[in-house]
Amino acid sequence: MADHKPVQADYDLRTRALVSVLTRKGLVDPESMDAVVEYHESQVGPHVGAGLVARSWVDPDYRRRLLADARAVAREENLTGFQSTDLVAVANTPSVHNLVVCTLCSCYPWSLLGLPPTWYKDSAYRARAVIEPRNVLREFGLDLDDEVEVRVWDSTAEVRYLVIPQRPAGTEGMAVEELAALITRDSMIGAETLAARGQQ
Amino acid sequence: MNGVHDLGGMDGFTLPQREENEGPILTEEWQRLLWGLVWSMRVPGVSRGGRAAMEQSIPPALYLGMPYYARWLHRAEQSVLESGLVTVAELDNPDGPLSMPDIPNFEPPGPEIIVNGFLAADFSAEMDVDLPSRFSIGDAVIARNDHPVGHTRAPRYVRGRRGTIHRDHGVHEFQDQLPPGVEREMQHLYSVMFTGQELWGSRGGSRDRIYVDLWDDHLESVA
Repeated sequence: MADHKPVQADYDLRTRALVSVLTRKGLVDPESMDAVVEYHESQVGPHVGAGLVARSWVDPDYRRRLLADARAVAREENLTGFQSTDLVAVANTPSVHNLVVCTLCSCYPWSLLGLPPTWYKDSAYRARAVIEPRNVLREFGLDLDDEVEVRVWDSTAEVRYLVIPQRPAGTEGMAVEELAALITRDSMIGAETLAARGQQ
Repeated sequence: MNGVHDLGGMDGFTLPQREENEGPILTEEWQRLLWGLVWSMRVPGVSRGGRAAMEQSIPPALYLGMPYYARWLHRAEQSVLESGLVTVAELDNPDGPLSMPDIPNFEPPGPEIIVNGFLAADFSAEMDVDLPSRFSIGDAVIARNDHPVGHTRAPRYVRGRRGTIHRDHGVHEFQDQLPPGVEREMQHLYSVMFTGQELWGSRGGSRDRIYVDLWDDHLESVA
């Protein structure tokens, strides 16, 4: 059985066969299948993580608690979930830049950021982020100063990491909701920083 | 095992373009069906095909050439075939005759159970166990140089390397593959900091720090 056509090219046919057999056997509820996709595509996503980050920018006490025990904060706000509950938040500063990777597979805080982007799951990112993070970031468009310390977090266990990007200049006085709208998914993985507002 | 999935530090790959932030992740219909299937199927005796099973059953040359969701498809097929609930012949002829499974009191869980009772539930891997930790924050440690044949969470690139305990994540179930009959152990899990130069020699950035989550059994103290 182990050699059951592991790479038959027709993924669509194979998937439909699997779904059809399992559904006909009563082993899976098709409504649940739809609900899973709806949950991961709509209910959770970067907007959830962005809410935490934006609040950490305006509320120093919240930021302290998030950095000390992000799991407790996520629990208070009902942001737990499979593959996210054991959360650790790490903050970017002018002298430290954080980057998250999973070299062994593609572990990612789903409940806070949704499904991981393709580049995060790519062999190239998984292979290179730990050995040459600065080159990876440069190719992604972020040229860090040599003085900046780069911290790479390899998610080898069940702990999930969320990067708190630096608050962009020019956002003084903005409300939490406005700030949240500026925060990108990739900035919460550490693949980019947020551009200053209103200076261009 | 020294599997192909353990990619950290390998050269020769070209980074993909970073795609736009808001694009859909599951771009094809089969990916959506598969993703829904993987997370909504909860049948007693059918493993979800954990990382270990998945990664160890795909030959290295195939693994690197497979699209991400094709690996999930492989994993889903293998897990139902291994359970005996589905046969290769049935998958080859999905509209043909099927043998119906006899699982007492089983009904496939509906959307409410799957979403709120599973995906969004408060699952912590940290165990509420009072167990002394072998290491303290700031301790110098060496990642054990071991190459087990089974699944391990200690990536090759840290083995034999010296690091520092950065954070204690509390007590977690040890996830390395254990010999049959051996029960999973509870151990402290730590974030261990390695410098770029310790891991990569002259290629390591002098201001690079790599943090890896490792269990007590992955670590030795530095005398």
